[in-house]
Amino acid sequence: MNVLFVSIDSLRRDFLGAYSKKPAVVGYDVETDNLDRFAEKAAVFDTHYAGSLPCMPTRREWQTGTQEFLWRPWGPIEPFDATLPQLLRKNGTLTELITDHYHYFQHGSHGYYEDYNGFSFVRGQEIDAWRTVPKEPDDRMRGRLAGAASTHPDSLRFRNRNQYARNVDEFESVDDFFAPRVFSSVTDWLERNQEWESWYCNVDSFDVHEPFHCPEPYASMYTDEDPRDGDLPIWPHYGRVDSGQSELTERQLDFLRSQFAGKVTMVDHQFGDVLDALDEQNLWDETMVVVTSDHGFLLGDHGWIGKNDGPVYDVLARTPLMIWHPDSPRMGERVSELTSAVDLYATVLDALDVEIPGQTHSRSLYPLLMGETERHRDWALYGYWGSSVNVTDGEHTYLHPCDGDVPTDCYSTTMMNPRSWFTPVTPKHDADAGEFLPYSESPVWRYAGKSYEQHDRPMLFDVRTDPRQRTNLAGDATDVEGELRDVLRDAMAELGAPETQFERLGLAE
Amino acid sequence: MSPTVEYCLSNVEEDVRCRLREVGADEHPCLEHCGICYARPFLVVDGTLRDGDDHEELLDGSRRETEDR
Repeated sequence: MNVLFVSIDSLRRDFLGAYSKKPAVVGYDVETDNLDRFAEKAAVFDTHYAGSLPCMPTRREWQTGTQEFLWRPWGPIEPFDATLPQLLRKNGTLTELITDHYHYFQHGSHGYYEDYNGFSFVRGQEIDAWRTVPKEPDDRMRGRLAGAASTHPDSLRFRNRNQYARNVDEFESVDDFFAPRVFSSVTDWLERNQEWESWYCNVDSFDVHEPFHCPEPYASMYTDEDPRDGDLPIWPHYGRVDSGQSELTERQLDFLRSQFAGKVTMVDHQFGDVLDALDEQNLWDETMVVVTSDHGFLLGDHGWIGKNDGPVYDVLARTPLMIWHPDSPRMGERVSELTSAVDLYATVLDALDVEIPGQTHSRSLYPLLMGETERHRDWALYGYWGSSVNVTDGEHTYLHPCDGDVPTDCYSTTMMNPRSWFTPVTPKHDADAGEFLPYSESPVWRYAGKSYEQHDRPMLFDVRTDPRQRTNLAGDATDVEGELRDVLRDAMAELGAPETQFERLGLAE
Repeated sequence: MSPTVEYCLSNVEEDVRCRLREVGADEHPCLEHCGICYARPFLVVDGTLRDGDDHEELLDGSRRETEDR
């Protein structure tokens, strides 16, 4: 058996035909013929939720089965983690990572690629520290990268957006862009690795993450604007669309949506080549194929652009998941049961007949896929470390705020920066150490980080009748709110969340 | 009209955070200016990044500019 695991970063599920006739924020159809073709063949999960957010925390859920956000933020693989590639290669399965996700190679997130038998890294996404020329990047491109124009290109500080202008300076055709290079690496890898009996190939596409930089024909596919117009940004700052550095005009917001849509279609076309390769090599009968995303991206929904800053609405948290398994009787069906990102870890291990570690937070979807059960989980927790803690029972979502004045403890074998993830790590002089984790006997550091209020009051939505979460029922539907708060408290207790988490959330008994 | 002032949580000590809250500044978990954030105090005032030796000085500067308008 093989597993092909495809992650398409920031992919809003409402941009996929399999999930929605039209995206919530645009009035046009977005072409996703190949993802829709796969959806018709696979099981489509309708109630799938992210867990730990954003990018790297999700990857730790997928690769180690750890729902980390109650204990730590964006950070490295821990020494006690049993990663998928570690367990699979021990079991005789070849492991491969194909990615342009440069966060794997940045400050603060080591350990994610080293366990693979092989990895391919397509360079240059976002602020990947790659090209250092031209010293004076193209002015028109700089103007389109909000923030780049106001930062001197000579600046050698971290995360200078001019890096992206340098990285793409020599791009000429669609084949130079990232998704085409990532997915062509996948088809090439499938072609050249046919002699291996069992493999796990993790395809981690940074697209459709911003910058929303599209080549033609995708750049003009959903807009009449000139995509090279310097007044039209392709890389917004996160925040409110009506104020501050993230403020956008309607014209700019419409353009950003069109470039996001263009990226979705570009990735879809590339994914189609992978489907064709699976056809040509007759791999469907021996390969489980998983397609999912880490989170969505707010494109003016609820007045926000981006992620991280505001409430974790379903646009961000309710992610696409489609799974093909040759032995499953549920192929071609919709799966309404509640599932969570962390569950994919045990599912991959199950598919490749590897024992699932006892300490994991992951619950295999295999019984669901094989039609052996109709019930999977009663709750799913999701959120960012140091902010709100959110829960769903599949019918309601309950977003519980924190007190921003109460610090959040961080637990790790490393001294990570709780918030400034992309800069050199600074020592934590107030740290103490001990066996603090319920899922490992390893000693870890414990130190405090600042909490951030994504919202200041509870939010409750009935996502059966209000999938766009327009009506906050908190304070009105008091019985339901109390029930969901109990579900949240019980779920945190079941995971053995730190006592200080209950205190900072005002949930201590 | 008061300027829109934004600050990054990683860029402020607790006393500065309190002060910025008092004047109605908007807090963000990250303003995506990590290089400057790592190096020195900064604020974003009406969408424009201002960096300097301390936040109070930056606030005073934005206040003076508003009064001069």
